Amino acid sequence: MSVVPQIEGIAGILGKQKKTAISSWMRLQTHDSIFHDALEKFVACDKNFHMAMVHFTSNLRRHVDSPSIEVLATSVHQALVMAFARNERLKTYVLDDQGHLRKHMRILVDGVAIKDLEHFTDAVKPNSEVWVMQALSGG
Amino acid sequence: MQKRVLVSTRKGLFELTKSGSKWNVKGAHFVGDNVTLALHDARDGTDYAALNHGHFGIKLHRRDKGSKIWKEIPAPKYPEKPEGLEDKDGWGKDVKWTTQLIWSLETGGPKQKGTLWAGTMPGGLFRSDDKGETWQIFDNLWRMPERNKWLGGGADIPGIHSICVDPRDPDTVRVAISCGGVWATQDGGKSWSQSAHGMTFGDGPTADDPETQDPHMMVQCAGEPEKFWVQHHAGIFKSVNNARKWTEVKAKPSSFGFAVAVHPKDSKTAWFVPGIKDEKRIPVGGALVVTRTKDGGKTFKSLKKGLPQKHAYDLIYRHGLALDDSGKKLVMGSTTGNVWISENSGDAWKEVSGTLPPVHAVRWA
Repeated sequence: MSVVPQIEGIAGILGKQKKTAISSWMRLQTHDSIFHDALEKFVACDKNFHMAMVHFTSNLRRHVDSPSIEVLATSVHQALVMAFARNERLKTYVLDDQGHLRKHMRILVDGVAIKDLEHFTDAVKPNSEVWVMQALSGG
Repeated sequence: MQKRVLVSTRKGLFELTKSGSKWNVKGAHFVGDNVTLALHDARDGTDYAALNHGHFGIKLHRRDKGSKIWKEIPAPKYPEKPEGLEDKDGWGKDVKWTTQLIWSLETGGPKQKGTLWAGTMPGGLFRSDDKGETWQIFDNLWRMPERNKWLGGGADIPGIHSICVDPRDPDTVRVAISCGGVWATQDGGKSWSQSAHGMTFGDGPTADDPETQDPHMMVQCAGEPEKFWVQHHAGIFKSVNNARKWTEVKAKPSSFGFAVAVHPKDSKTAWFVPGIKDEKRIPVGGALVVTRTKDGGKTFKSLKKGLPQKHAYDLIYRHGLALDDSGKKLVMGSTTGNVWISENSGDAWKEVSGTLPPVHAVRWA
């Protein structure tokens, strides 16, 4: 997953001044985490801006560090890029070798299961709650 | 001398050690999780454990010599599947380019410290030269057209379960596939050729086709490396000419099974665990035995002392039987969670535990 489409998506929901700011960060960007740090600082300055939240279940936290994370995103794809930006290991627990959602995993946005399990184009709104969870729990 | 056993089970990895004259379950790792295979690397003392988390995929962990800490390392990863590529297996099902099981894990040559080989489902073979920190798929084996004939046997999808790195030359490697026959390289994986000629299912339209043979497990004799044994779906096969040609061997009470072990110095001595073929997969008559030949398959002796002879429905998976480097000590673990050890070449067995989770694999360490 590249961070570039994510930035383009973000630019679409921001004003011109903020677009300029992001463009300058893009030029500086050498790594996803650098972008992420810059974005956090930016959002901290803008008190009116709301971010979506990505949550992971306790079953996953048993294997890999996966705290809930605030993301600036308009799609599930963008939300996942940000959630995985600092934790490549976490990504391998949720996505398979092709970057698709693992067979027995599901993602819900505001309580509704997403439909695009390969490209994650489902929409995420400001204040959305995104849950990454297991599809089956056994019986 | 190997003093430990690693037992990979549906609910954790357990270590067996000997105290006085008794073997005990000493260590427990990843308790509750599905550990499908383990490897001890005698070259540097490292232990490896492969896990299948189901929801969260296939993972690999490493414990360096002297450490008590397992560190997760990258699992073998398939390359990006080309857009629009139609890739079907022998059953006509779409092949998913993602690691679905680490089915075999072996060390490279004695002088290749840090080199590992991993066979996976759905059929990718990988090599690491840095103790599993990075993996490279053998792309030529994965992308060859013959791979599309491979198919799942007992499992839904094909996989590489046996890797024999030749003790004479670590660039010569043979791998066995259920179901895809035996593939061999003599140039470190640059080129591959089919090497299951002579194996047969006995009947059916493709009975003798090497490309779809189902060797359940393949072993190479370290001291006579031109000699091989295979426990096949349809019987027992052996090769005395570097796996170029295979001949069938009949055993009683059954030639069906999954596991096979060969003596490290004497290729004529090998062990098998027979069962009723193939839809039942339980010991004949509910009596668990190990069969041993000492004459290259002309005769077999059923070894039963210490093993349950009534209402035993234990199945020994292909990695559920292991022989130590001395050729005398055997360990065996079953789907019923029983583990036995023999220290006299299988003549007598002692139960180490009757309460472990279902055993996938055992290994001396």
